[in-house]
Amino acid sequence: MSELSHQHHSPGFLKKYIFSEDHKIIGIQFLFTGLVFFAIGGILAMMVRLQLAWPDGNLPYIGKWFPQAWGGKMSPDFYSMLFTMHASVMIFFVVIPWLTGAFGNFLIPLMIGAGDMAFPKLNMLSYWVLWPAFIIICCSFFVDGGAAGSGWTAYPTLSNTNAEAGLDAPVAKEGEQAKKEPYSLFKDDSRNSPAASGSGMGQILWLVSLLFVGIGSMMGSVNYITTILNMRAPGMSLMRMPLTVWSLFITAVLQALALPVLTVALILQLLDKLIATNFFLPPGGMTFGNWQTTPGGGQPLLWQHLFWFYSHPAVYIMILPAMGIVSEVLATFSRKPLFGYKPMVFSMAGIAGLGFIVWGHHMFQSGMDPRLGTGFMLATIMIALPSAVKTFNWLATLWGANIQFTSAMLNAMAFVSMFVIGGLSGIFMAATPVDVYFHDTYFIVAHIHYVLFMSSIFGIFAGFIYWFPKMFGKLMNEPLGKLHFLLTFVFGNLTFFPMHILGIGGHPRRYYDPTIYQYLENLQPLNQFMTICALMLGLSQLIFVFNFFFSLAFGKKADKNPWGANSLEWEAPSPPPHGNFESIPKVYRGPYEYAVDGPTDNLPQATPMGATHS
Amino acid sequence: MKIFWSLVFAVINIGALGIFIAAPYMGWWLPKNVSSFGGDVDRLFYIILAVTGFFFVLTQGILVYSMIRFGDRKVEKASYIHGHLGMEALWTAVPCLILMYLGFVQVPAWAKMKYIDLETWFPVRFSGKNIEHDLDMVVLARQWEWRIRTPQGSRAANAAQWAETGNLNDLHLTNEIHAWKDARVRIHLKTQDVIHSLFLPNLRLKQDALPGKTMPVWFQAIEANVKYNPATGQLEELTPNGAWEIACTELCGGSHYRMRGKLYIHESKQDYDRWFADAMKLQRSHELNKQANIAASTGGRQ
Amino acid sequence: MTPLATTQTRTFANWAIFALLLGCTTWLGSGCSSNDAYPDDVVYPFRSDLIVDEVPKQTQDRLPGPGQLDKSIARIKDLGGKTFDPRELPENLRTELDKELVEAFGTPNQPRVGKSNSPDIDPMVKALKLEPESLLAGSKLYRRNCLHCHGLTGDGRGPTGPWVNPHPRDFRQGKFKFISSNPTGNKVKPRREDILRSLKQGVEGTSMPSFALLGQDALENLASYILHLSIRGEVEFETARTLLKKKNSVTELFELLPDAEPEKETIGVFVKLYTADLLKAYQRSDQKPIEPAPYPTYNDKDMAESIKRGFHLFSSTAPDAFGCVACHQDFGRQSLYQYDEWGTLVRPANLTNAVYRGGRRPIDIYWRLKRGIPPSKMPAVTVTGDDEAKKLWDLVHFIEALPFPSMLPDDVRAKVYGQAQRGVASLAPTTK
Repeated sequence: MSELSHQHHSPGFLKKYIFSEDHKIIGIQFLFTGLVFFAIGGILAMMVRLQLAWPDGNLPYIGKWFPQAWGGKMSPDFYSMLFTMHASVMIFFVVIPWLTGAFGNFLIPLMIGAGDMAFPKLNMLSYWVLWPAFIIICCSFFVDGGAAGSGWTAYPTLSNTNAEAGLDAPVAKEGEQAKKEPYSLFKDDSRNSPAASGSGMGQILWLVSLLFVGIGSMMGSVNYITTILNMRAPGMSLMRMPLTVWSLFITAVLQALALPVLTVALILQLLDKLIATNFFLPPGGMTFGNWQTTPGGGQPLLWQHLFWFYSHPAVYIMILPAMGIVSEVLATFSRKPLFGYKPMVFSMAGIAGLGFIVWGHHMFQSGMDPRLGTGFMLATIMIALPSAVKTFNWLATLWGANIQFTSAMLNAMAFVSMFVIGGLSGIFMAATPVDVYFHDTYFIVAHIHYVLFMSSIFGIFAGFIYWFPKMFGKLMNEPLGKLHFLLTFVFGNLTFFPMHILGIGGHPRRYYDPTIYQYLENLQPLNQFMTICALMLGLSQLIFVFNFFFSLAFGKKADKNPWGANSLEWEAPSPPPHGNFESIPKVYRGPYEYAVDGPTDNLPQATPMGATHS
Repeated sequence: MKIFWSLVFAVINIGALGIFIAAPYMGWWLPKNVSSFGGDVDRLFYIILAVTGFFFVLTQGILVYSMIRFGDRKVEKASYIHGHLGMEALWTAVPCLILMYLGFVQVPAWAKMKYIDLETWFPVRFSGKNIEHDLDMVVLARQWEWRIRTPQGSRAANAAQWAETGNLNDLHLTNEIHAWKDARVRIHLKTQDVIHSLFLPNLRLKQDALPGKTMPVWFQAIEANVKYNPATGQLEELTPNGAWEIACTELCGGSHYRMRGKLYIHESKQDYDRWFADAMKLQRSHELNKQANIAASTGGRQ
Repeated sequence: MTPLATTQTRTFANWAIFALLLGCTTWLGSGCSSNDAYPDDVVYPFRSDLIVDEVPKQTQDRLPGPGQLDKSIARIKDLGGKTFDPRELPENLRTELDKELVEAFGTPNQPRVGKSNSPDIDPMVKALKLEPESLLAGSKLYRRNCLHCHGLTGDGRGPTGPWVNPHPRDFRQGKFKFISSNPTGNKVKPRREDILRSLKQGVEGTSMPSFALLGQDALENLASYILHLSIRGEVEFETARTLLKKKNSVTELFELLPDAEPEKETIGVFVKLYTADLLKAYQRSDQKPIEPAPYPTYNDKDMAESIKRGFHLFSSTAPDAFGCVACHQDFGRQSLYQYDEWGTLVRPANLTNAVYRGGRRPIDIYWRLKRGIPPSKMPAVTVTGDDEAKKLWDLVHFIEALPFPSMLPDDVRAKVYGQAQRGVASLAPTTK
């Protein structure tokens, strides 16, 4: 029997709003910090785009912010840092915290009819353990050598080498022989890397920061799994849970199983940097001009396996909750049951399960055995199947529906549309011979941004708008929401779709100046067009931010169930008090009973009535 | 309202389709393929493009149609349906079959490119026969250039040893790969510092270079783009074929973008040999070259 | 409970916001240009890093780590060397020198050498291809290709500079390593061809890539711009150093120009005369390449003998030999680091790994021997007359064969590689 409220006294301000153990407050905390990092990641992306569009030009206004000695433009190492940090921030500090932290925390107890999470203190910690990560990643911009610049993928040996060098080398007087001292990383007075300037302190801080993020996520996933399995309201069988909860549950399992591998990989690379181990350094050492590294005994490819073993499930972590949210929103605003509940659940499970055996498709060209590549190829091709099934189910939900064009619905439908594009472009890379051409080109960048920005973020926007009334008791402004959607949809497509064309033309990724290549010359106008659209896209997000805070202050007051939806969170007041429900709800049916006969066209889960469907 | 939003979705999707159709005519398409296995890669690309294009049009079409037909309806309620086993079976089985087809149709192409006999480092045809090679080459990727070394006589005896140590009479080139038409080239790809990736767009070739390993790579170019003129010492373009370039496609540090090279396929082995002999003479030069252009280790030509 | 009804969007507000966004982007976008020249407000800053006057004679077995270039130069004075801090120049002298440098050499986007219409230097400027048009083209190329390593003033301290080793060349002392010109007076200057060669081939074993793909015209303009940076840098370097050394006495400057007869002893006049002096030196260097001694013909047996003789010249310290092994210890495998004239640490090359920074042609190796590498303290071999052809080519043969054990005669191979053929030479340096 779940406890509705475990607070027997009124907590102080600190315990209520800062170190809160209430899952709703924690969810909102994730939301706000995610918003800050969304802005940071967006600015980093804008600078990347500016450099790509005018690689040689004088950046207007911004050029003056760089040291004069850089000649009015950014340096190539700075650019490497930009795209590295853009990806790292967006993945680990925006999308994952928003999806698993904000939505996961806020929604799970409400949707399953519990008063709070199974482990409220752990929940509080899972948020606060992120703050060291925030601080460390922000500090990393200011260290000697700059922030990490070896890509968010941080492949050795670019990321983890140390030079067998140091200022404190023994010095011999004239005519004498210099004493030879064995090299010791402890005595070296710098952690700088001969491979790249950002691979010194910047890389170390990046690794530590991500460790904290991983710990927070693992805490969260333990909490979610326990809560969902143990604290569902009476009558809430697993097959009556809203798809959002299913998606968060499956995501939590993914996190719990995959994150330890990333944690291990990060620690191994840290050990390489800090105490001169050789996990990822090859035998024979490496030569960077005069700097020679100590001979290793490890294998750079090992990092790739460990990293991608987590990072492939990570991309499913970043899409599954959004899929769940979209299912919710689509059903509500189609006023029609979600088509194919069980297939939807099994598809998500299938995506997650298959997601564990496809990591090698990031490594087809890496030098691993091609036969292994074939194995991964078959699994990757098959993972398109559950995604296709889900897409068709969404379309079938819309077929015969009564579609309400609210801003949340528009964002959800955009998810479906854009996910089709992102998913289809993935099939090209699943085919290994075609991947030979597309690997590390802009085709991959297009795919990434269609599934992450054009799908997940639209799903997230849909979720924010949909649950804003429940979170804050106010409604977001509809016209502004629609305007924001229109601009984001249009400019997002204009920004990211041409990247497919760039990729087909063979435009590589992570290039500071593509114009030195003759075969890329006529693609450059596309780069410039995309930059302008990206600028517009970035500015359009200000509308959302404005809407968010404006509605917080002046939004129309929302009642319990402004959308006429069915799941349990709409039984609670808006916003719910501590403990969520006045009394534990009892569940009589599944969450998608729309288009029913009766006074309203929906039948909420907790409404006792005769007829039950599934 | 629904007309407006359906239009927005429709226009964007039609635009997306449109740019794919227009791209080849704008010169924004695949670079010219001159590789023996590039045709297979391209064919596979087009098959996948056709399949994905079909499903793109289908799904986006259904979406837009649904928005128009079922949007803002004046009915009391929508149709009450939770699912349909038949439909589920259909849209599970059909994509499954298509995906399995895609999975299997590509294996021969992959085999042709990558399954190599570990003794000879050369591609094994699907039937199991080895292919001989015509030219050995060491490509050493380093921050931030390609150092290329070819042996006298094109084929190296004891190639593994030669790849490690080299000979005094090897020709050293920087950022230039030379071969001749239809030569079967065997590249020993190495790196001395970080991971780089050798990308030759016109050959549909890409291979990561791993520190501590020598990666086997091979290609056969079926078209030539240069002819060597011994009188001027210059390479002349055969036809305006566009640039056949080399790029690095694995982030390798600040100047990763700058690892640009050129691919020169001579029109015949005789042409290649003439060029090689002259380049070698320059590299083994004991005299002050009184010409204004002192050649690089080969010739710093365009 | 009926769902929220869809509301009409306020179209006017929508269009207004859209127009605003479009305006912002156009405004921002219009400032962007593909103009690849330096911005107008970028100037050559007066140097603020230490001036290295004398370097310590110590040796080390290790280099400073990445990012420690200026820290390592700062230690020189504690190790017995001498450095000067240009920031200690009195304000008035510094401003005056800066002004004169701008007058003589312009700004990065308007570079020149000497004021225009100066009859005494115009012919030299033309001969060295240092006209403003070439320099402007070179400046744009430099900004695009070279700036991030070699820095705005050619100081080798671009954003990437301190993070690679060897560090990018600091042009400001007017010294270059791989030169093929005969010495002229006390000035050691490269030929234009030497600069072009480094640009075309890159410098193997360092982070300097090959720029051959830029094309001959671009390379010529770049070479001109590099000369411009070098001349400007050297004028600044010598003036600042002398002033700091001689207690800010402007008169002492003219000790550097014993043949000159200045009408006034000011910094401006010195700059003008010194520039002319440097231009003369570069011109003379261009006109006087080292012509190698004629190359005799060798058959296999002769070649083996030649290599043996070369081995003796290399490894023996007898008066008739060159004793290279004193610095290239163990044929370069155990060389120690020492300071070069830029205050950075270098070591005699490992000659067993077939990496030749100045070029791998026999004539390149010949030039290294005949000319030495002055700024890195590699002495030129002293050999005259008839001996020259034989001895130098013998040594060249030995050096060429050294990385390849199979090319060495048996006894030589045993001495270099030991009986068990220790030390496999490869393209990359070994870890020994």
